[in-house]
Amino acid sequence: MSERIDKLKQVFREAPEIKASSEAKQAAISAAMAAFAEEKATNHQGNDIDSRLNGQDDKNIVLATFSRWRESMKLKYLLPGAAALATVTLVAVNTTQFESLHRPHSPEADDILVAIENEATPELRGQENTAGSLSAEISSSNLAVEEHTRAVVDASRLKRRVSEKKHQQEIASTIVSTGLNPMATQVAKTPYDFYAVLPKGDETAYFPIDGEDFPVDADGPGDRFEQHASNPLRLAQDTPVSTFSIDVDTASYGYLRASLNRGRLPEESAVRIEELINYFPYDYPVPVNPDVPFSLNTTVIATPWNVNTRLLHVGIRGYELMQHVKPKANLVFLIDSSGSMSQPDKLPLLISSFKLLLSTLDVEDTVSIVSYAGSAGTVLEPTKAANRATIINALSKLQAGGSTAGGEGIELAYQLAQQGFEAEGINRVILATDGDFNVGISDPEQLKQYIKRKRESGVFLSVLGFGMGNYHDALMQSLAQNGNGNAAYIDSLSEARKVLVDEASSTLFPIANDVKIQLEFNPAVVSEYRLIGYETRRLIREDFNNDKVDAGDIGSGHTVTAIYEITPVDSDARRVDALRYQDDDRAAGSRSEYAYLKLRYKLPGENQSHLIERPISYTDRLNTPAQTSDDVRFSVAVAAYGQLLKGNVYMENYTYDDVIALALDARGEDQFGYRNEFISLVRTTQSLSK
Amino acid sequence: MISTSDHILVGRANSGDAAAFSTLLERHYELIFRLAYRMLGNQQDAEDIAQDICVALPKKLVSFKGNAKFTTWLYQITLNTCRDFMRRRVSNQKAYVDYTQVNQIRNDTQVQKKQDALEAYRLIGTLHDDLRETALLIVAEGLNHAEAAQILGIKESTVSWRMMKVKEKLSARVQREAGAL
Repeated sequence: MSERIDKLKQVFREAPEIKASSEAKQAAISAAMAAFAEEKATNHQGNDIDSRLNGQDDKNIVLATFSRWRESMKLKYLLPGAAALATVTLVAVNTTQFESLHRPHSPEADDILVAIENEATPELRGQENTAGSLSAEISSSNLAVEEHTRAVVDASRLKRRVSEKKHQQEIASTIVSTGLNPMATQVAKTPYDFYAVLPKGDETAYFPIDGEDFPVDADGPGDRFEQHASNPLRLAQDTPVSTFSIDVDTASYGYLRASLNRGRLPEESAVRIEELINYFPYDYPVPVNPDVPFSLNTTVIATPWNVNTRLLHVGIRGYELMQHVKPKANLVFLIDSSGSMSQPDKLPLLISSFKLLLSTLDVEDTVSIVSYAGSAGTVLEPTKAANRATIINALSKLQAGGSTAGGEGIELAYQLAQQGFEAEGINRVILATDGDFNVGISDPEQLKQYIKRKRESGVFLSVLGFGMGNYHDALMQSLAQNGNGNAAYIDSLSEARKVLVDEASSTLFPIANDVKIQLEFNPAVVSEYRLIGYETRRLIREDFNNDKVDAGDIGSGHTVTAIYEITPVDSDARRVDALRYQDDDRAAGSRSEYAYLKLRYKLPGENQSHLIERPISYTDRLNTPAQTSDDVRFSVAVAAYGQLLKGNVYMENYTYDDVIALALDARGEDQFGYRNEFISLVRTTQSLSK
Repeated sequence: MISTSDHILVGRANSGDAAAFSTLLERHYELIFRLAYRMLGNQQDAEDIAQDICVALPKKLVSFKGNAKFTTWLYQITLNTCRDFMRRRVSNQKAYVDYTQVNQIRNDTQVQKKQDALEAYRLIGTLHDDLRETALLIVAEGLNHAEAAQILGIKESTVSWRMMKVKEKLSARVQREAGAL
């Protein structure tokens, strides 16, 4: 065996031992013993088990899952009765853990456990009896069913997840609300359906056939995020041209934020640096000439993490259509909060979707929120989008629950729309539902008429559908048509982005498609370069001029930022090499230009691309941080953060503290609070990394 | 202390002996957890899976025919369950892979050893499923090719061939990463 493999083996031999927590082991073994007893009971004892499934069942569970059965093997006779129920507990946990009713967890549960243990253990130790009489013993303890249930939850596998308090609470409270149903024993035999016993022979069903071919590219695990190694350092001499597609996605930032807010560092593969950078709006100059719909802004600055290199910063801004007539928006979210909306693909997705929409709004735009069907009423009075935190807070408080009709939902929504009415702007009610149109007017025909009337008064209606099972496509379409709006079905956040951000938002129109960037580095000035991020957007050199090759689209006013780290060559040393700069036409500029930037784009509806080009020269160089704009420095801070997250080897001794310092200083106006949020995310990252 | 062989314990457990079954669990829980941890990359998923496997064992145990080592059979069950879980996980939510274990570190040497292990996990994590599993069994679990072959249900020569591939891939990767410096 090779050296490398042997070395790896040694690493594993010497690594600290991998151990489960003792609680986890305990819980697993207890649960398994219960399952074992149940299995044998079903096989051998027939109906006996049923007779034990009533009365004081809950106490059995507590004992079966928590008692120290191993200390006294005498207990093995007692297990059957308790076993089935112990398994029930697990099922309840598994099937209901997505519910999120908030009920505070009381430390009582632990006390109860201790109490039960103290009370029951001596009993058990002396006990050589049947489960029946055990039940009798236990029933003497005077605990409410609800408390038992909570105790059970703690006693089983959840006990060990002390750190995940919130999770624990949710499950505990859910179980309380659900109650334990002895009927569940049927399901209980297979806590997860996919762990059901496979028919004999199936154990090997997943094994590949011997000698089977391997995939050609066997790199990377089969996870949802593709692994992309960071762009390597290139020698300008050998590979002078760097080509990539622009990317205005920001999903990675959202994922990162969600992950950090859950107290977990994101996996490296989920971090796409360009998406972090491009998440933030940058105030690059607006293109002056509509014929050339982009402004190219190039800057060369010192690298914060390396004194020997420079950063070549390219900031692109798309032309803003009708910027001077951009209407103000007055939006009222009318949100269905009936019980059926609690599923993850409904209300939670809806809330995330509206947060997306929020990010496209102008500070002067107005947002109000009304909920109906569940918790009905005004959730948020008309509020300027500048108060992002207030709006997000209100959105986050929305909870699905109840199923009763909720008063005058739609009328309330229109009333708020009137209240914040923008005579010159867009006034729109956005109805979001999984199909419950019990908005206060029950007759569909009447509802349509109402919406139509309101449309004439200048308030439009859009309808967004969420989730499955309850969905009324036709009615939604018809309502939206009557309201001069669109109906859309949202099944994922990316669809929400598409509908709410890219399409429906009147502030954003595509101004160019298939936007590609190509940089040709001048080996006389740049010895090495490396593109930060855009790993998934790399194009081959020939693709740049090939209009058939698809690339990213850009919307009105969109900004895109790309950053290269470059290593300049000593100009004295480059004189000889300068002769090798192959482009004679530009030989004059060969020692004053870092690179030559080209951008290709298609106008919407066109098939032929246009080209914008310009050199990046010494005049783009800025010598001090003070000369550098906040936008450039902030984007560099984000780039540094992304690279630290990915464990990038080029970061020298740069730390999260440095990132925070750089970002703090470059916050600028930060109208929407994005940059402050970024800084707090870096702090979270820092504390999680320790 | 003379310990009863796994085979005998399985036989007893199958005929309803809870003590035998619990001895088996005590003896092998860590194996299940360890492989799950290596496959799934984090403690909590591994603990959950280990518990689910334990709970399913009473039923599955009947299908253990005794023509292989009990641990081989356990490896198979664990591996299959992890594969299933990963499949689900991919379709639902992204895996949380960190390979951290907070409770084990006592001194600096161990911190270093742990760092090394993390790096080894990362490297192996770059391999595709088949190679990754094989590498985990051979390299991390320290099994020989014959045992791994039995667990994976493939020929020993295939394991050897896969390990050759593992070596190539890892060398290439290490070089690529070094080159990126």
